[in-house]
Amino acid sequence: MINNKKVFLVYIILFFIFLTFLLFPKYESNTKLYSYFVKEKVETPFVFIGSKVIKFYTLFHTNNVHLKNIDQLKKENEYLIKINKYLETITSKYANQYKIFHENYPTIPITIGVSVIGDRNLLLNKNFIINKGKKSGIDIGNYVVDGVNVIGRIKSITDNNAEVVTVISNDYGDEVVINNQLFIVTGTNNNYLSFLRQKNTIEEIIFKKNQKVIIKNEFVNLTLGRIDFIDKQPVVVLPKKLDLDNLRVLIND
Amino acid sequence: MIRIFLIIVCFLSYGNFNFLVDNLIIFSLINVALYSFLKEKKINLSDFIIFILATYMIELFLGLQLFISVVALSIPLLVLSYVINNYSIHYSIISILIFVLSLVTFHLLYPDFLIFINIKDYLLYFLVFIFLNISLRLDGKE
Repeated sequence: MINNKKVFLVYIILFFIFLTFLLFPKYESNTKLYSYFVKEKVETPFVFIGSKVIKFYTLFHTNNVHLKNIDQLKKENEYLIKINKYLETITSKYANQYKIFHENYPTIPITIGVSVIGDRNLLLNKNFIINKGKKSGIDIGNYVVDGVNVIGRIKSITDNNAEVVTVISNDYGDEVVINNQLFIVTGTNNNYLSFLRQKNTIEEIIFKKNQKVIIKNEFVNLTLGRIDFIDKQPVVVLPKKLDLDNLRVLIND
Repeated sequence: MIRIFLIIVCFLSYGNFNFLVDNLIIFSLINVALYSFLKEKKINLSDFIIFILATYMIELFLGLQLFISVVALSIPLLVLSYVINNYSIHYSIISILIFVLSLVTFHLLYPDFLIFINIKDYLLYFLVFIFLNISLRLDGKE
């Protein structure tokens, strides 16, 4: 039935090749390996070009996505700028209130918490020692308060300690304000302070009982005590017992 | 020449895409082989060489014994060719016959494949059928 001699010849050759491959499988596997080797070598440039094309396409696609994102973000940004301008216009009415609440807010004075480490019972000379000194920012002349009333002033300092002269000490003297008038007072080693003189005035002094005696500081007014009379002489009466448990030193910057 | 080019393309493409394309390549090679053998009563050397090349590729890709198709299928295919080409059958019927034969061969090689593929994947197989029909028609005009 094979009516072509060449075809018949090729068929015979292939038949013997087939028999060889069947009898010697190593030749068959080698032939397959060579075929795959040729396939790999021939397809290498196509694979390279294909990967480049895919990479370019991916870049192009991601670029388009980024451009869309940028457009969207620009629109969002414009919208937010408009909203911001609108809100600024609305809130500009409240600028004055803002100044009252934020710019003229009273300055809080700086204080340092201290504790007494020596002569707590004020036996020797109505002075005591505290546990902080120059390193903590304390300076000579700083007021020591117990939260409400003035307890004393810093008399001398070292790096880590300071000596406080209390208001009842004989060594204490200060300038106070009573009814907007300035006076000089001094400690008496008793529970009250006596007046030395009125400062810068020659007017007659009229005191009332329980008038508040104030020490004017840079930021705050400190309460020293109240006016009382002993043998018709005006004095500044202090609390009966000084509270030395919760002391703070007022720092003057 | 077109068939040789197609065989080379199939040779290079196999394994570089997904399994659907790989199966379509195998199916196309089966078609090329059967078409080369059955298109004429008197088989030419070039057609026979194309048949050998196509079957060689299939055997290489599927891990079959090399040249087993040439040795085992040549005689039955020659008989079939003699039967087909001795009657004046319309080319479209011959193309359907070749397509069905290819499907049967493909089904014998991959028994489960034609069952689980999607309906849209069948369209690619019908594309092969259309090309087969066109090639037979053009060949008849020559």
